[in-house]
Amino acid sequence: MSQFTVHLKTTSGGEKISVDVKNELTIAEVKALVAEKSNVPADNQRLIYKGQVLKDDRTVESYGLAADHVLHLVRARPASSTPQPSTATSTPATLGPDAGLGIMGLGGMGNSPEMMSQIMNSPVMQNMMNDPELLRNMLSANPMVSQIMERNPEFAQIMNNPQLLRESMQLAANPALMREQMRNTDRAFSNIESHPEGFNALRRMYENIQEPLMDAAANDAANAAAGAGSNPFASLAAGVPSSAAPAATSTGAPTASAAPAVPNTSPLPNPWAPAAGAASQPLGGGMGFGGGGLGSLGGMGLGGMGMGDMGMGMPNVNPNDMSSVLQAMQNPAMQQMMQQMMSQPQMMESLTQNAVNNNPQLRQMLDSDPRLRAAISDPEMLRRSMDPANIQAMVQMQQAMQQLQSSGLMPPGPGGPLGLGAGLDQPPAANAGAGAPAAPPNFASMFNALNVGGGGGLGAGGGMGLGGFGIPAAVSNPETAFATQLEQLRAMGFYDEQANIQALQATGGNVNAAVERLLGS
Amino acid sequence: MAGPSSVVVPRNFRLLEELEKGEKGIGDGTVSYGMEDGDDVYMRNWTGTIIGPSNTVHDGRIYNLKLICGPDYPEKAPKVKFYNKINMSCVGSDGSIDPRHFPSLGHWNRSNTMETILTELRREMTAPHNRKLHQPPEGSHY
Repeated sequence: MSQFTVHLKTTSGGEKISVDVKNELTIAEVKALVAEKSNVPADNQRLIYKGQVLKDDRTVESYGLAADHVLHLVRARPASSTPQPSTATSTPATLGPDAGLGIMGLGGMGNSPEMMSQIMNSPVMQNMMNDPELLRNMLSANPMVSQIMERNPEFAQIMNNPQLLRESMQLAANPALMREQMRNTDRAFSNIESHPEGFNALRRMYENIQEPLMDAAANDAANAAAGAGSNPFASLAAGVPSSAAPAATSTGAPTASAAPAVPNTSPLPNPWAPAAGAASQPLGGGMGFGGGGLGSLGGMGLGGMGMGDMGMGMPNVNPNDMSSVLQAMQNPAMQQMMQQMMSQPQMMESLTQNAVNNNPQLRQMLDSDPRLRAAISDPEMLRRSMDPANIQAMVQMQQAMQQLQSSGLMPPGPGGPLGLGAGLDQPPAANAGAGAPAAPPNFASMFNALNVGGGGGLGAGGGMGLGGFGIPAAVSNPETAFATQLEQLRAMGFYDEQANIQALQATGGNVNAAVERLLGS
Repeated sequence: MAGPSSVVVPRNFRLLEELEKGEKGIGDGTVSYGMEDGDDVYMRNWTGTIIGPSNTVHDGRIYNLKLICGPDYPEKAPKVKFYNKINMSCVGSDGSIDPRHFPSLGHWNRSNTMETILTELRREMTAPHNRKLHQPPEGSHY
């Protein structure tokens, strides 16, 4: 039988080895071939295929190996001790390069940053960038891009956000900015790792979100690039999907600014965040909350979501359009991440602290109303308020308000606030947050601010915004509210009713998260 | 996104899909799985391996598992059992995994795959309450 190629994946990632094998070869012989191509001696190789460890004396044929199948190559433990690097040093090594990678993806377009920036700075491109509509049309006219958009709704959102599109183009055009971004990422990583739970969170986030996203982005970029010859715009498109990767990558940077608030006293300058903050300024007083608070916190939504820039960018650029936020909230990845965050009280707290410390307006607001402070520092409250359902309700409320404003029923400026406060009275505790500090002249803008906080999503920004409002409704009687979940937990063998209720409350009624919590404690 | 979730993929198609994925080794390379006997038309018995995550007691170990996909897979979770002895909170004394302590099985939904189970198990090995547990000698079997 003729020769065919099989591939080997190493667990350490990176290198992929291909060897040509024949059916009648024994596994031992295959290992010898592999040893030539890798630095793993045959004796130390463990080959795994379809869930089995291959035995030396059996043949390739007996395992049914065929062309292009993939084996896993594991370097077996050397007889003595394993010289494994310690956790602290080995982990950045695995995360670091990837972080850089995403950013490289951005400039990697032409393999040459100078060329890229030249292109980007040419008048034609400048024109194009200043005409987002054109850019968008062009991109969506490309079948490959529209395919990507179809597959990744988040990406579609980005595409529909001209501001963001322009920003990512500019980032691509400016190597200095990119370098800065990369430096930040590195610093962020070192910060995040010094936080006790930070690293775990980072790792989970990485596993859950970045990897699939990078996969997608890389594939898409590769596809697009492959088509470059036939389609003049493809290379441009290639740049864009890969700019999605850096967004994903900024998981590192923004997360760091948000998550391990403790060791990170000065918030990291995040090239994306300032834009968001700036955009939000016109919304007025309350916006400080959304601006500053989100600048650091929304970073979470920003990078955490990977494409989450839209989570930030959209609501800021266009506060009327909350649907993007809604969508972000419905993204399972996002929800999962939120749950994970929420199940870690220390992290939540440090997030809140960070937000407060970094944001004078917020602090003022807090100082003026002790109840608000209490609400914010109550982790239970925060967690509850991050329940996607609640955030959704908030968004709806906000949309309704917008409607009121536009129909002239409700004056959007100062003066409106009091009537409005009354109108919103249904959730009584809500006024703890909203009613009293309605002292800030413009309630409506504050409302916006708060909601934009929700928009950042994940963000403790979100939690805070809503925390201020309280959302006292749902959980009045946990036993009835969580009846079905309690039932499920019982069925799973958690009999401690009290603990169950507590866990459910803490996780906003999410059974999976509650189980994790119960098992963790 | 008229996603695949709206279409109910019949058992055999689903398993064939997973088989191919296992053969081609799509994924991060830390788990591997395939059919125990390639001629079994019912595709019932599967084997899986998990490569012990580094920085835990499982580092450098390779765990073999047996997965049994019943006739109502993927509606119902497969039965999963370790061949190699392992000390982990969700693994019973005979090596089988207790769904009550392992959400991926306890909360099975049909979008889960055998890969999900294996990667979740691997992740479980890194959980704080498992990563330091004293382990039986390498190479011992149930």
